[in-house]
Amino acid sequence: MKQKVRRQINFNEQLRVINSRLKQEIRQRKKVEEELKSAYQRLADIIEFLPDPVFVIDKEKKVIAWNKALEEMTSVKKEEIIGKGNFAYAVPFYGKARPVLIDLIFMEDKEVEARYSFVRRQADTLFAEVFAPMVYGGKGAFLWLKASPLYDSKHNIVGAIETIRDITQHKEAEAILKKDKESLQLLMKERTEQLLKVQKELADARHLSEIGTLAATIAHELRNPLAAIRTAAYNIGKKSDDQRLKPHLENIDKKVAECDQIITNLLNYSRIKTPHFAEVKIHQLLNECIAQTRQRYSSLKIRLRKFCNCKENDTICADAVQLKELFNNVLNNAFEACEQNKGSITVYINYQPASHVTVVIEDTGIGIPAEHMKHLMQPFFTTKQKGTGLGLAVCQQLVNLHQGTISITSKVGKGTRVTINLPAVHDRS
Amino acid sequence: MEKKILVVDDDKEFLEELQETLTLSGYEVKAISDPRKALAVAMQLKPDIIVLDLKMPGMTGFEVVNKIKSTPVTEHIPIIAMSGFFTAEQDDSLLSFFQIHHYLRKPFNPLDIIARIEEVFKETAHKRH
Ligand SMILES: Nc1ncnc2c1ncn2[C@@H]1O[C@H](COP(=O)(O)OP(=O)(O)OP(=O)(O)O)[C@@H](O)[C@H]1O
Ligand SMILES: [Mg+2]
Repeated sequence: MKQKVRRQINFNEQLRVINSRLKQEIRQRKKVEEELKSAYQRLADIIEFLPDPVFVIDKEKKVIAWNKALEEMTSVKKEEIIGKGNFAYAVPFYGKARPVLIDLIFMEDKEVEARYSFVRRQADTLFAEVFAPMVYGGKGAFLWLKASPLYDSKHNIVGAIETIRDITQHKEAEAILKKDKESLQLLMKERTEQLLKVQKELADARHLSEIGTLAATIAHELRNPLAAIRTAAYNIGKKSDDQRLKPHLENIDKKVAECDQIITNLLNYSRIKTPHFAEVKIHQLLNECIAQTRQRYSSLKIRLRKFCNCKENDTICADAVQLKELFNNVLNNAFEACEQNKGSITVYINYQPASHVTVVIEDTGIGIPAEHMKHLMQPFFTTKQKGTGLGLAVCQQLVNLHQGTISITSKVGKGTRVTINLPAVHDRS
Repeated sequence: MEKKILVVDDDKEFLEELQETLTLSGYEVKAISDPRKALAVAMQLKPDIIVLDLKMPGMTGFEVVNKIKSTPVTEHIPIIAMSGFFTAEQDDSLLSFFQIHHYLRKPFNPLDIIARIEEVFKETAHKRH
């Protein structure tokens, strides 16, 4: 009995010890649990208040964290999305449930990768850039994304986390910079071209004024000896009865006249100056030019037709002397182009009162090879044995002085068309 | 009586040739190459016509014209101007301002100057009647 009682007491004692141990264990467990809980809470809080938008998914690709910054970016509350799978997290970004960067942690998918401007891998972390059209209430934004796997203690992937950064401003700045750079380059290019053009014009102008001075000098210097030669030849003819001398003297006279023509062209070129604007009867002026040229080439028997929509007395504001020079030069070229094939020439005058006049001089002559086209207006460009190559250069200058245009189209063997446009009115100040 | 012509030009060979041309045409020709002497010679010679180059060193033809036209003994003498520089149409107004009767651009055909001279003589003959 005594023994029984003692055993009983012993048992009770044991129970008490166990109980207290148990209690202690429970307490400890609770403490660990609480510690765990608070640690988890702290982690959740950290994620929650990260300045960058962040979300976390578990192995099943269900959303387990969706922070405040992301709520703000997507307008989707964590209550609406936590626990959802089936790529629900893609919808607030792209408007569609589909695999996104974070899914590339679990599997490779070229198609998904292709949706991003780039996807870069560094160790197990993925970086990418994309435009997400749905964020910020549909305003959209350029996003810089970073996705990393989450591991357990045994290094098994248990989920993934994606951090998002809005780089729209940066992108815009970049775009502006790029645009600035491009427009700067464009501007530079334009300016350079302008400069080159001005430089060329200047060079041309210098060239021209040099020609001008030279021409004037040559004209005077050369015409005096030519006058002496011509008169001397005349005197020889007068003094000698020798008929055999006659053809030679005639040749001298002819060649002197030719020299004189060359000088005239040079002089005309150099003498181009500010037009003296006055009312000019354009039809009448053209008729005079046509008559003059016809006479000059009377031996050629070339047919010339004229179509005109204006009256004899219709006027434009221009320099009559310069216009004559202009039309004569173009008509000369037309006649010379028809020299060989006996072509024909057509002149069109389209007069628009108070606006402009268009004169087209067309020939069915030899035409101009394509490679010559860009040289036509250059001084001294000529394909003619006796040409000075100043004709069209003068024309270009005269047309410029009248604020008009001159253009030439041509086909070898078919003919040439010269179109001259002149304004009918001028500010005479 | 032979008509007297004064020719003024600084180009000596041209002067010689022109003098010969005009002489061959039956005129009495005095040729000088220094424009500064032109007025003095003109006053003394009293030519029926003066043929002169407009652009010469030392004194331009226009200065010579000016002097001749402002000197009583010579002012009535018709002048034919020559030059390798000016074109008639462009300087018409200038020529008439200086009362130049005719203008010939060098190198002119010698027949042209003879024709001009004849014209001037015909005009002055008309005026006298
Ligand atoms: N109507 C045309 N048909 C064929 N070729 C032409 C015509 N007009 C101009 N050309 C070509 O353009 C060149 C330049 O013409 P431009 O009038 O400037 O000088 P040119 O006629 O040769 O000499 P210049 O006019 O001094 O007598 C000519 O030599 C010729 O080759
Ligand atoms: Mg030509």
